[in-house]
Amino acid sequence: MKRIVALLLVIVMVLGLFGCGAKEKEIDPASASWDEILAAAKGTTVTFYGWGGDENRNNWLNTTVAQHVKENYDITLEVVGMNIDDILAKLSGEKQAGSNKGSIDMIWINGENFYSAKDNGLLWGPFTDKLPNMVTYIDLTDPETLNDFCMPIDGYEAPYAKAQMVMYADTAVTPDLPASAAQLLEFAKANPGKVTYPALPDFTGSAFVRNIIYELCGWEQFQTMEADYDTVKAAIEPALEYLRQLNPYLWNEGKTFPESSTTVDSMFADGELVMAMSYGPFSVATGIDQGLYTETTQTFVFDNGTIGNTNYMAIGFNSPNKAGAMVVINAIISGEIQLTQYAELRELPVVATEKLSAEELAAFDAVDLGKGVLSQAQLLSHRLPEMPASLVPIIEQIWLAEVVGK
Amino acid sequence: MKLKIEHLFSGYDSDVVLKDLSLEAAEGEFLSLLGPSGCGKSTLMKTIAGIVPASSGRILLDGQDITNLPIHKRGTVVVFQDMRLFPHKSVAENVAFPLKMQGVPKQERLKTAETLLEKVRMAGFGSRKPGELSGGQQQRIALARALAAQPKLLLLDEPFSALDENLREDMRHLVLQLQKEFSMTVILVTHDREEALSMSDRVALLFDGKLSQIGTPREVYEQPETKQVADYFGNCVYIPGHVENGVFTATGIRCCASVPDGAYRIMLRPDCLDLNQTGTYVLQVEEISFRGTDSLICLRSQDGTLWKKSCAGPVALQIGDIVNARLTVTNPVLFP
Amino acid sequence: MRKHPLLNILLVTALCCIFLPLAVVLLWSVTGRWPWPGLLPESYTLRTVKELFFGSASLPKLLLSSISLALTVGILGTVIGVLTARATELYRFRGKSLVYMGSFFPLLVPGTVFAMGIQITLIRLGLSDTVTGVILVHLIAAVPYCITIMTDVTRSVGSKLEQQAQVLGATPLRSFFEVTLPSLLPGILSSVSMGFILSYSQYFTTLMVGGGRVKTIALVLVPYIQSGDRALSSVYSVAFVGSALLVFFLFEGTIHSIQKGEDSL
Repeated sequence: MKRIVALLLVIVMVLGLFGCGAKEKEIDPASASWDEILAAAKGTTVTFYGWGGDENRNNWLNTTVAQHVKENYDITLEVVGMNIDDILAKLSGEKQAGSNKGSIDMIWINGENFYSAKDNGLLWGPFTDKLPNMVTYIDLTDPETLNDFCMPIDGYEAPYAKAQMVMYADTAVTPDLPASAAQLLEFAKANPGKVTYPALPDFTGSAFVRNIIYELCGWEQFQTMEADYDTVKAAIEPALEYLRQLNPYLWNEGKTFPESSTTVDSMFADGELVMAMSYGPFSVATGIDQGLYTETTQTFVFDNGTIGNTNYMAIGFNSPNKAGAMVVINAIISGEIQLTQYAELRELPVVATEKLSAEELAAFDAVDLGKGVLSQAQLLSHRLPEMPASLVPIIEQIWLAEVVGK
Repeated sequence: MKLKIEHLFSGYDSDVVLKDLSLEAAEGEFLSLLGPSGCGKSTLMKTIAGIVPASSGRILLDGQDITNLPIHKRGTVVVFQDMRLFPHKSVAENVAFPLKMQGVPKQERLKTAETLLEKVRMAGFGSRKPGELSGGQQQRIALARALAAQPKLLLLDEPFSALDENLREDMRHLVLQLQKEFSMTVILVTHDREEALSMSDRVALLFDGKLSQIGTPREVYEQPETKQVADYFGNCVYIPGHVENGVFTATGIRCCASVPDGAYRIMLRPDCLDLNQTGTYVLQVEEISFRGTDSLICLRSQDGTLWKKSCAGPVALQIGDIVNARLTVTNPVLFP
Repeated sequence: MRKHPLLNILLVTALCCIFLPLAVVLLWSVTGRWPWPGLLPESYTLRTVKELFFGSASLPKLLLSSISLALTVGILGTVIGVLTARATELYRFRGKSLVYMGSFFPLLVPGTVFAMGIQITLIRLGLSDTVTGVILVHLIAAVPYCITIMTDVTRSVGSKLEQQAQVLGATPLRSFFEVTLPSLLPGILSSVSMGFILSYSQYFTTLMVGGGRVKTIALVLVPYIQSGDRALSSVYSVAFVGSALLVFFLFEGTIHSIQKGEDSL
């Protein structure tokens, strides 16, 4: 009996050791030429870690993108759904253990997370200077290519998709949509208890508050502001006052807030709220398509603009296949793949329109975005930059102390 | 199969139950181990079978030292008080089990099982499950199963105590019958005196982990070597007296004795008292109880001893009567 | 004994508490919009069902790997449980109570804390991101339950039947398989089921230890719940619960046919 069990355990363990895919061939990705990198990446597997809650994106990655890199570069793409906090915790643990060959190749990342990851040495780079498509398709002077939440990227991440904060409501229920903070206050008074925003530090809720701050305090002063509690508080005081004024007309009178943007979305879909917000500028079209929102739901932004940012792809410090990661990232920033992302997922592309050929441009324009959304041009003309990543947690703290329940 | 036990010590953890026990059993003998609960008879049986390891001493079976052999290699089969039929197997499979362990092919062993079932008068029950049977039926299956193992030594651990009175008689007959038919050496553990006396070739009495006396039923009953043994069979009285020059005298008693002079007590059983004959022993009737099949008469002798005698049939005596009874003493049993 | 009417009420209430939420989840899995205060969804869709079966997550492969992983944990855990229970119930040895108490330590430490703590050790052993590592960590979580279940059953079965089998000529090994094991089967069924469901529903430990490379259905399910797509989460939940139930029924059926098969030996 004991012998059988011991044998079983040995077999299981032995099988477990043979669990991994093909690894990178021996080149130094930091100094190799692009051809050498392509050759080294051939026949390998690349893992792409990122949030797994968007099934459309998962499908797009697993079919369109995976097929593309397989056919063109003979790379097998393995998409892994994991929250960014868990990804960073894993990398951190591996760094602590001195593990030089981890399992994370590409990471979907941006903002404060990128900032802390780069600071803690969890990312490998710089690498974007090696990617041919950076030159071909990306506007290298765009502040969003050089900085992520005002932090210099230094070639440690490549653009993936653009996001912009939008709000949406059902015009059948509320025909008049607010175009400024002042109009929003009136809107809330007209629909008491049916407007709210996700509690900070939720990503979307945080962005909404920053938008309000931009509306009432202007945006330029924040680009170079010092990350000091009192300085920031003094600067955003008008916005805090506004938010406190807004509270009594909010859901639950501003005493508590829904804990995430997905909750706010569900409440909007259920009719408990008349307005919601999202970082995905065309998400309403997808929502209407899937039958989650009514046909009369409409996206809107403030006249002064809403915050837009880019999200990026980075490479883990102990990625076992840095060459392969670079090849896949390079493919994703190409016009071809960005077009499919625009068409299939309805996400803003990162390619610079000036760099596109006439055919490519026509292809982009031909895409039908669907119902209830604003055009790419409308969005981009009402787009404001993010403020430095270091200010974001401070604003979140201030909001918790000064706005909730006041 | 000759069994020889030499200076056996055995017990559980630090608790020593059997203390320096030695005994022998001849081939084909029916030996009973008799004694009160806690005397070690079950422990002795389990030690012989190998369920309880011996701490020191030797056990020899057919000349082979089995003291350190594992249970399944000893050739000793036990039938337990709680029968222990395997609940997930049918009756036939239960009986055929020992044969299966010996590697006998299926057809053959089921046939043998059927034959054995006939012997215990349970033919045709082969496809039933143990749970469907009554206590007596289960016991018979357990016996059949034990027989299938062709034991060198059959050990029965109080197998009948869980059964009804009527069944017990039947089972005792069956066991003796099978023993003769298969010429087995059997050791029966019991606390039932009547059972031990009626079934055995020899009876071994155990008290406190030691062997007090071993002998034929008559020997142990009529000639107990210790007061403990005498008291165990009970139903006796002790009359004090003394021995002088090979003669024992007490009130109303006189007989020969081959012990040194001194003060002794004589052990007497009511069977030596005959109320229908006239004699020199004087008693007075104190109580008469009717018990159905017999009556119990309590009489007090002149020296104050209380006798309890059972008489079958109608009793002509009454309370208060003086009786001159005859006391017949052969082979007196004397204790200091 | 006549059933007390209160008992009936309790029974019905209990059944409702189990089946009503399941019914709601089932309904949600095909819902388009379900605004308050509708008792039924406003619109239905098969989007989620299509996604489940034809999406890129490859449901059959996912189920197969999840089920085999969880079954391995259940079976290995039960083997350990049976052996440990035998040791503590039927044998005497020094430090026995220590072993018994020690087997319960995993219950004291929350799974999350445990997974993060053991991460470094697993990385050094080369077991991080492997199926073996995941099985090991799940096993540690499941073993206390398996030991408890098997201890109770082993105690009640006892060693009497085994003794009887041995005096009848069965070697210790054979006496275990022929006589004790059939009596232990109901306990074994419980223990394997317990280990299975513990492993099947693990999220954080699988994520941490498997590093996302070891894919189970729970791992795919949780992000969809977090994303707020209620219809999709519901359909995956239905797949999760349904597959677990299927495994239980198959397993119980197998055990029963083994028990029946023994009779015709």
